[in-house]
Amino acid sequence: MDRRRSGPRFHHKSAGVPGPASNNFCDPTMHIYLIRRALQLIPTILVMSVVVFSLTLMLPGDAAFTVLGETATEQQRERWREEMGLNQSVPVQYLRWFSKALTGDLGLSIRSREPVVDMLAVRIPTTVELAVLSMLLAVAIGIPAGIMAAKFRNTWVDFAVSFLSMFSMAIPFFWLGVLLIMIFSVNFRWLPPSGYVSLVENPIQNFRLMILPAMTIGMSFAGLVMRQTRTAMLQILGEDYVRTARAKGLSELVVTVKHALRNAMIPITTVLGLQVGALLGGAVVTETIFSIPGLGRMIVEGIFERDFPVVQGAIIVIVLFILTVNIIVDLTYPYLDKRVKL
Amino acid sequence: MGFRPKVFQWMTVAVAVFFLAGSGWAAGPVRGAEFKASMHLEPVSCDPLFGNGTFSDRNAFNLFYENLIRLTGEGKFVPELAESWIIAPDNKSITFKLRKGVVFHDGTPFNAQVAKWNLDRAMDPNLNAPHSKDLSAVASVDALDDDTIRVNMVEPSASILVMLSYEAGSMISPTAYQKLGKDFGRNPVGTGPYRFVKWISSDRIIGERFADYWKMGLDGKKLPYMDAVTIRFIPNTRVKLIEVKAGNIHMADDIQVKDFSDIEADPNIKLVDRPHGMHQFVCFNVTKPPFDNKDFRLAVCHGINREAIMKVITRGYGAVTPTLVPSNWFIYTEDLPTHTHNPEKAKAYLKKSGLTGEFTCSVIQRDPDTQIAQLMQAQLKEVGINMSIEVLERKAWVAKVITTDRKFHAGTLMTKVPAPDPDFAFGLYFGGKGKLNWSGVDDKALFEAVDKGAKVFDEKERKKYYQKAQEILLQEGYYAFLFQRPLKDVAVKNVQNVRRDLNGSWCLGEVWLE
Repeated sequence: MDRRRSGPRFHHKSAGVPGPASNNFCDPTMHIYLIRRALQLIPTILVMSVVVFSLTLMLPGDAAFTVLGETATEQQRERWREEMGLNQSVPVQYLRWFSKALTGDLGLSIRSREPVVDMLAVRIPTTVELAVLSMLLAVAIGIPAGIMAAKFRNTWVDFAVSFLSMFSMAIPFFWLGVLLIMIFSVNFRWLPPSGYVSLVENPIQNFRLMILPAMTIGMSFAGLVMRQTRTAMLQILGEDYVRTARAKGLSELVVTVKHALRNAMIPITTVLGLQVGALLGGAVVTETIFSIPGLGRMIVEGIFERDFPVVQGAIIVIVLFILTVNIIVDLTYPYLDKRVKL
Repeated sequence: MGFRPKVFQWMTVAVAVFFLAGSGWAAGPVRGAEFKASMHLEPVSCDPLFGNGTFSDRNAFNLFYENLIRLTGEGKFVPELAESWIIAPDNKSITFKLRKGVVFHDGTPFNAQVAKWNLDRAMDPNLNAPHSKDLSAVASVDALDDDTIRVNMVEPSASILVMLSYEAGSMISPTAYQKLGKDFGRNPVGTGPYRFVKWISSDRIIGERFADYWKMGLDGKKLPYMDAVTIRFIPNTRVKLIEVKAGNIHMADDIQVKDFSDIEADPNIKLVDRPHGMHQFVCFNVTKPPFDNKDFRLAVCHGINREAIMKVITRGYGAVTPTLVPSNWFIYTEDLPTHTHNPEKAKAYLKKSGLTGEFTCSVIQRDPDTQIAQLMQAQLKEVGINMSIEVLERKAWVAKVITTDRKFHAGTLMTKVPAPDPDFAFGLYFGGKGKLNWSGVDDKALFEAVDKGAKVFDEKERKKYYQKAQEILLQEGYYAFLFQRPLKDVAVKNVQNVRRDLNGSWCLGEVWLE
């Protein structure tokens, strides 16, 4: 009996929001579901903005020194604080920022006087590109490796792959990045060691510059993807329907990819979605090593320079990004397993 | 004679021509290509009045801006936008004859009215610019005719020419400023060899050759030789060194001493000297215990072995001097009551102070401050002084040390010397109106010596005043002056003709790649 037809119907509780009547995107109940999930973002963003604002203001240090330098007089600094509204109370500063943010104005960088929105517009594509490339690399390495480890369980293949995955997960990003630079840029001179050129400006140079940063993050996540794939595949390869598929004479490739892997993709997809935050954290270190002007580096420099509007804007974008990815991950479940209902 | 000697003669001529031609190619400037450099600190603004990195900002500013005069790395004032100048006999005014035919990148002509506008803008208190105070000695500026301006002084100032050769005297286009307003800082327009193209924050700033630049090159054609310059902002020393070794950038600043020998061993790159070095010293908060006690200060000063710290930190490349004045500065003298390392003397001063010998040294989390603090801690322990180290991120350190309520005991500092003018160092740290008097020193004799040194023009007389100031600093032990370490840049071997200001900033208008 094919359990996929007569098996139980699974309901995926998506963050406490009642699911749509069907998984059809044209269904009006799906639209209502998506709107409800989107509205859920609002309180999260609000709380995050208050927390980040408070934390950055609690940091010791005065942004006036960043902008005016250490030789400016206290009168000059005081006047500058007044011009920037930084001498007002914290709640007033937050409400001023919030009222502007509602209109899409995230303020000006205290340091460079650039609109934060403009800075984000330049940096978001850079970090997204790095994140996507890293994820693709992680998936391209991790899933086949995990399948191999599961198929050849308890053989030298399994042990070798498992060892490499543990090793790659244990290596700090900073060390790995510098190691890759030493090997590929200094010794072999195959790739440039740092910098960034946009995809639009020069696709080939962009690719050459992004390989090492993507490897730095991707190799670490490949280990995680591999382990998750191996675990999921081991569970599924032992199922009755897989044995049935083999008994029906299907090739091992079809059995593994079409039947087993497809069902294993739900936990793998869940892990990938949950790791987006960690991946962006890796981007912070990686962008610093490779001098990439991305979101991560923007946050680090903003914190060191006490550039509150920049930190606030960047973190809100990252929070939005992570929450959106989680929604997308939830939406993929019905396509991976038709038994799942949102 | 016969055929053979003639063949030999022609061969000799051919070889001579070959070598002469080769040496001629190597000697002259080569035009074209893009010059790529790296600096560790990105400017806050390209409006020269709003820069806050006095030494590093000008690496970028010098691409786009010029001044009436320039102070070269050799310590000489040379004409730039002014062809000549005359200092009045009473030292209370300077008349500049301006260069004709100079235009800004946007086509605005440079003349006396524009020069006056620039200096008036620099002095405008409503601008609230960090560099406005640099021209505090200027009373007014007059445009006498289209090509002549006169700068009138409040009182004689020996450092006025220096001030005019730096940020406060940089000439910007009034047309562009009026059009762009505060956005001018992100879109510089000057008379310099390169025109601004693009500035990507945290990444790079790009300039392209300014076709109407006034200065001529060695080959009789207009400068610059390069088609474009890109300056990348790479704060990580390891990464910038790798970029130079890989040939992706031609020059980088701020190389650490520990990399000097590695660079010297590499046949493809070279160390490039800077006109100044860095002096490391410790400031004591003399407004509060324990450093309000002179004997305790002297105990610490004599308990530190500066020679040993210098050898460890600079690997022998540095030098120990009596104060922050290096030996290549005209005010240098060895005839001073130096703080020699003398444990017995240190213990005697400690006993005399009546204190228990404990204090905290606040250091910025950077090289070499943390190592210096650790070495000092070990040395002072031997004379009975317990120094604890508080490591802080820079902004937190600034909040602690550079505030009027001075919430610290001691802090490690560094400053670039020789400064373009002694008043840049002495006036800032040790003068009566010193903006960097973080120690809280209030010593009238010291202030008088420093202030007089700033007003006198004759170098011998200035040297006497600064010697007096150094004697007071050492006798009172207001600071512990440690050592001098060299500052060098790294460049690929084919970089030629990098000129510098006296503060070490690059002038890339005459650079070429061999």
